[in-house]
Amino acid sequence: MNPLVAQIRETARRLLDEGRVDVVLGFEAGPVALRNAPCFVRGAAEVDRLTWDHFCGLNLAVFLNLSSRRIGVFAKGCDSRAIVNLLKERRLVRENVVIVGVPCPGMADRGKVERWVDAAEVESARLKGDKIVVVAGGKTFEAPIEEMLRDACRECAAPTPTYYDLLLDAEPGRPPATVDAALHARNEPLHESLTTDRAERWRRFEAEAAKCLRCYACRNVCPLCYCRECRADQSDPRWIGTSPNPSDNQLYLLMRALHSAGRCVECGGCVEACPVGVDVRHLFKRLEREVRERFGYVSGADPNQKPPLATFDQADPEDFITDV
Amino acid sequence: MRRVILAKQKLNDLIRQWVVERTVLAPVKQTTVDFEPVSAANEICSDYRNTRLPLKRLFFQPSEALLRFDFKAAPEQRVTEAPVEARPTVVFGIRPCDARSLVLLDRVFLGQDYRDPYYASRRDATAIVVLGCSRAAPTCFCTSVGGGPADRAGADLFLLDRGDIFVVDVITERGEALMAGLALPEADAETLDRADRAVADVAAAMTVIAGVEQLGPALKAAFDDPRWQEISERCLACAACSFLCPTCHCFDVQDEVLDQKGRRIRNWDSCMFATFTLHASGHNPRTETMQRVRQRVMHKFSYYPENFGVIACVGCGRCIRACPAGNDMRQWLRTLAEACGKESR
Repeated sequence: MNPLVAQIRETARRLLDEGRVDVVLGFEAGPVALRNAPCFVRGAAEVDRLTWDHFCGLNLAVFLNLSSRRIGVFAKGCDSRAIVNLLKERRLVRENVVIVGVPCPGMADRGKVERWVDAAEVESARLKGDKIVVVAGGKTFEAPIEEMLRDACRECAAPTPTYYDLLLDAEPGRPPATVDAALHARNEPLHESLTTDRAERWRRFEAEAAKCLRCYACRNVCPLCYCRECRADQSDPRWIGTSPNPSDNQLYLLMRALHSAGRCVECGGCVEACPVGVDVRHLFKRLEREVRERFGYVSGADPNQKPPLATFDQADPEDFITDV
Repeated sequence: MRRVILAKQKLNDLIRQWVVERTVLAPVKQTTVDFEPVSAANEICSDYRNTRLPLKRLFFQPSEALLRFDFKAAPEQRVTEAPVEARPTVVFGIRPCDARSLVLLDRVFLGQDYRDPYYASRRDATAIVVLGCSRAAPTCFCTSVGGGPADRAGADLFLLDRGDIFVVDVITERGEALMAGLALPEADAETLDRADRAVADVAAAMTVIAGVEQLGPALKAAFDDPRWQEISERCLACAACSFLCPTCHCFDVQDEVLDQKGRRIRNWDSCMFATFTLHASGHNPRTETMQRVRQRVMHKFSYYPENFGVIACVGCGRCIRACPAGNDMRQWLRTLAEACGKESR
C-alpha cells in the first residue's frame, strides 16, 4: 500500500482527536473501478476508510465552497491551487480550513483506460508497482500508469502543493516544491491551437460541443464554478439557450472557458466528470496559457498575487485592441 | 409464444431483410458501445454488457421542437405542430433493463388521460429485440428492483445467446412480423432448459439489495430522517445520473423566439438541478441538494410505485458509473432500507 496512506490516516486521526477540525475530507474506495469517492470522516474510528492512489482525481475543493464547518482536507497540488483561488475570491474562511498537502502521483484518466481496453466493461483496476493492471471484459491488461494519467496531470506544474498548513512527505528530506511555470510549459505539449489551422480548430471544437448533453457535471464538479445563479441557467435575460444543440453547446463551453480564465487550476476534473467524453478542457488550457504568458500568473500558485482579470495595472500589455 | 433457434450465421439474413423497410439500430463499438444504424450483422458489437447511453433518446428526445409559431402568418397558420417523422425501426440487442425502462416510460407518455404524440409515433413504429444477459456488470442491480437478465418486459423478440445460436422467443405480433419469411426450427426442450438455467444462474449470482421493493410507503414515513443528509453529502447536483438514466423523464419547455417567429422546444431536465423547482415568484422549495436527492430517490422508489405499481428504476447501474462524486444508488438504498427498518439480512 502507498506509504502516504498511513500518514493520511494518522494525520486525520490527530486532527480529529485534537479538535482542530470537525470533519476530515479525503478519499475512500469508490463504487466503480478507477474512481475513488470523496470521504467525509468525523471520528477517529472512521479514518481507516481513507485511502490514496492514482484514482483520487476529484478536486476536493468543490466541497469547501462557503462551508461553515471546520474541515481538514487532503489536498493535491490542484486542490491546493483551487483553495488559494477560493480564498482570493472570499469563498472560504481561512481559519475553518486545515490544508494537508499530499504529494500527487498523477491521477488516472478513466476515458483513456476505457479506450485502451477497447470499450470493454472495466471490472477492476489496481496498481502493481508503476504499472496499472485492469481487468475488463474478462481479459487482463497491463501498462505503465504514466500512459493512463490525465493530460492535465502529465502537464501539471506543481503536483505537490505549495500552499498548505501541513505537508505529508512521500520522501522525507526532499526540498519543498515550488510552482514552476517553466516546468508547466515544458511538460505541456505545444498546444494544438498554435499548430493547427483555424478550420481544423473549429472542426475540433464543433465535434466536442456536439457531444454535450448539458448535464453540467463539468460545471458542478469544478471548485471555481460556484455562482449562485449560473449564467447558463439565467432565464432573464436568457443568455444562452438550454437546448443541447450545437450552437448553444458551443456558447456554453465558450462562456465557461471565459469565466474560468485565470481561475482554472487545470485539474482535469471536468474532463473526468463528463459522462459523454467531451474534452471540456481543450479551450481552458489555451486560455490559461494566455494568462501565464501575458500576465506571468499561474492560477492558484501564490495567494498574494492578485488575479489579473480582476485587477488593473498600468503595465498590462495592450497589444490587441489598438495599434497605438 | 413460440421459441425457435436462430443460427448466428443467419442473423445477417434477418438484418438484411429488416433493413429494406426499416432502420435497424444495434450496439456498435466506436470509442464506446452505443446504438447506431447498422445494415449487416458484422457491424454489431458482440461482446458488451450495456451501451453507454440508454435508448430513451430515441422516443423522448434530448431536445425537440413541439410547435412552430409565426405571428406574421395567416391566422390559421400561426401555430403549427412540428411534424414527427417515425420511420419503422428495429432496435436489436437492447438489454432487458433498458427494454423494461421503455415500459416504465410508457406509463408516463402513453397514459390514460394523455398520449404524447411525439413519443407515441416513434414508439409505435419501433420493434424491440431484447438480448438477455450472459453476465452482469459490476454495477448491475436489476434483480433488486423487479427485473432480471431474462426479463421479457417490453420485448417483441427475446434472445438468449447460446454460443453459435440464439434461442429466440417470439412474443408479440410485431415480433412475428419481424420473423416472417424465415422458417426457423422450434427449439428442443433440452436446449431451452440449458438456456433458461444459464440465464437463471446469472441472476442468482447477483447480490440483491434487501427490502427495496417494500421501501415505498416506508420512505414517506422516513421523510425527515437524518440519513437523507448523510447520503447527499457528496452529491454535486449535476444531471449526469438523470441524463444517463433510462427511466428519468423530466423535461423543460422553452420558447425560442426571434422577432415574430419561434419554436416551442422540449428539452431534458433534471430534478437534480438547483433551478428545477424555482418558481416565477422566486421561491424555491428545494434549494438544498439533500431535498433534491430525496426527491429523486422518492420519485423512483415511492411516488411512481404508488401511482403505477412498479419501481421506476431498472437497476442498469449507469448512474453509479456516471457519478463524478462516487455516489452509489445501491448504497443509498441500503442506508435507507436500514433507516426504514426494512433490512432483513
